[in-house]
This record gives sequence, C-alpha cells and structure tokens, in this order.
Amino acid sequence: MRVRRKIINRFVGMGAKFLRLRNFHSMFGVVAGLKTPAVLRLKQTWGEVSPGIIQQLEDMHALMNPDNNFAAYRAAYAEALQPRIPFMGVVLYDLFKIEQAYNDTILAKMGQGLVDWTSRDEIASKVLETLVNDQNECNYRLKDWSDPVTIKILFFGGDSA
Amino acid sequence: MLQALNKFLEGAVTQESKMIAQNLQRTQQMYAKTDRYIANEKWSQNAGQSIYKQLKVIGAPIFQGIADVFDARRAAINITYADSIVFKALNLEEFANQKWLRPNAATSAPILTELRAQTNRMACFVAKTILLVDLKQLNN
Repeated sequence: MRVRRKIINRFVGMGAKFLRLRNFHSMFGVVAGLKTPAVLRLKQTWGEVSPGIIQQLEDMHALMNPDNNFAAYRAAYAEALQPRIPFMGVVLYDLFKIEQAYNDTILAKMGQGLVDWTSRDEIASKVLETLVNDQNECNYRLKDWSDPVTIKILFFGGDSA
Repeated sequence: MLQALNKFLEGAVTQESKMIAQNLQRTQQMYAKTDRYIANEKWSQNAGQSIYKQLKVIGAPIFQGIADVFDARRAAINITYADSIVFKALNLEEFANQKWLRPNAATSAPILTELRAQTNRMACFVAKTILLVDLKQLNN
C-alpha cells in the first residue's frame, strides 16, 4: 500500500506537470487513469494519500468536467499561453456537434436563404484555425531518452486492456 | 507505425542509442509477461479467480521497481515532447467528413487515431501500474 501511495503521488505529480506544460491531452489521460473505478475502489490507499495531492487531482479532474460544454477546460485552455496541446477529445466533440447541428434540413433551408446562420464550414474553420495556431507554436524540448516510463507508454503501452 | 513516430524514434536512437537500447530491453522484459497475459485474455477465462491469484500463478512481474525509476517530471516532459511531434504532424484533412469515426480510421485519419490512442494508453498505463504495483506484498 505504501508503494501504491507513492505511485499515485507520482502520477498526480505527472498530471500536474502536464498541466504546467499546458499539455491538456496527456493530462486528461493521466487523470482518466487515476479516476478509473478499479483505482478509485482502493479506499485504504486513497486514505493514506495526502489531502494536498487529492486536492491537486481534484483540481485537474474539475477541468475534465463536461458541464456547460466543457466550460472549465475551455476557460483554462483559453488562458494557457503557447506552446500548448489541446485535448483532442474536445476538438473532435466540437466538430462532431457542428456536423450534427447542420443536418440536411438546415442545410437545405440555408440554401434557400431561410436560415441566416454562419455556415457550418465557417464555424468548423474557426475550431481548426485555433488548432493550426497551436501546431505552429508547439515547440517543446526533449529532456532525455533514458526514461523507462516514457518508453513504456509510447512504445509498449499499445494494449488497451 | 506512423511516419511521425518513426521520425521520433529515429531521433531518439541517434541521441543515445546504447542507453535507449538497454532501457528498451529492460522495460520490455519488465512488462512483456503481464502484457502477454492480458493480451491473451486469460483474465476473462479465469474470471472466477481474483486478479492477484491469477498473476501469482503465472508469475507475472511485479512493478515494485518502478517506484525507484519513475521520475514524474522527466516522464511528463518527454511525453509532452512526443505528443507535440505527433500533434504537429496532424493534417487537417483528417478532420474532414468525420474520418476519425469510420471503421478505416487508422488509415484515413492515422495521426488523429494515434493521438486518441495515446490518451487511452496513458490511462491504461496509470491504472495498470497502480493496480499491479505491490502485488507481491498483497500476495504475501
């Protein structure tokens, strides 16, 4: 249990570092892993984790809250300076919803001038424009390559069991 | 593997090839046995038994050593660098016509698929490491 607590502390620290690096994509992965039901059920272990660490985790988890169309995440993302990596899940969610909103009926009405909305492509372009800006500014530096955790996640963590 | 990841790996190898090779070997050995067990879906075949008993039977490696080698800050910096390379390689065409939702997403939107898989890998790694970390202690 002591080792497990230590590992939880490290993963929370890793998530916090992702947040400081403004890598929202991987931060969501770490928090999702820590909030897995199987991990959450470890009551005794969580009981030994310090309140500061738990608070840190909760702060990160709050960013993942889907309420108000991911308002917490969007606010944090808007404030984040470059370089930054967005959580792709939200980008895809936006594009999916845009596609859903502009169904064939709406598009037909738009074609007849009955609906005066910004076109689907224009809205989608705005989402992707932000993404391209982020891509252009995304200049992170490498620390080193001798880290087994990095190697494990990137090259041997392919299973999704 | 994706072109971006290949470049990424090549870059790594040119830097400290010997050290990386050693680490790759060690890490692979450390995880391979458990991964094989999970991949073979033997967990579901022996569903009646607890996960700890099952892993004890096959003599799966225990992840205790990871607490000593796991530098959260370093890992986060490295993974962010890796993410940035894949993210920059993302082509906007992959977003067209919801390609990422199609059955052939791996070929029509490969980098987007890789980015999505990366989050899943990370979550899986975190949960698996925590759950299996002190297995030996629990068994004893």
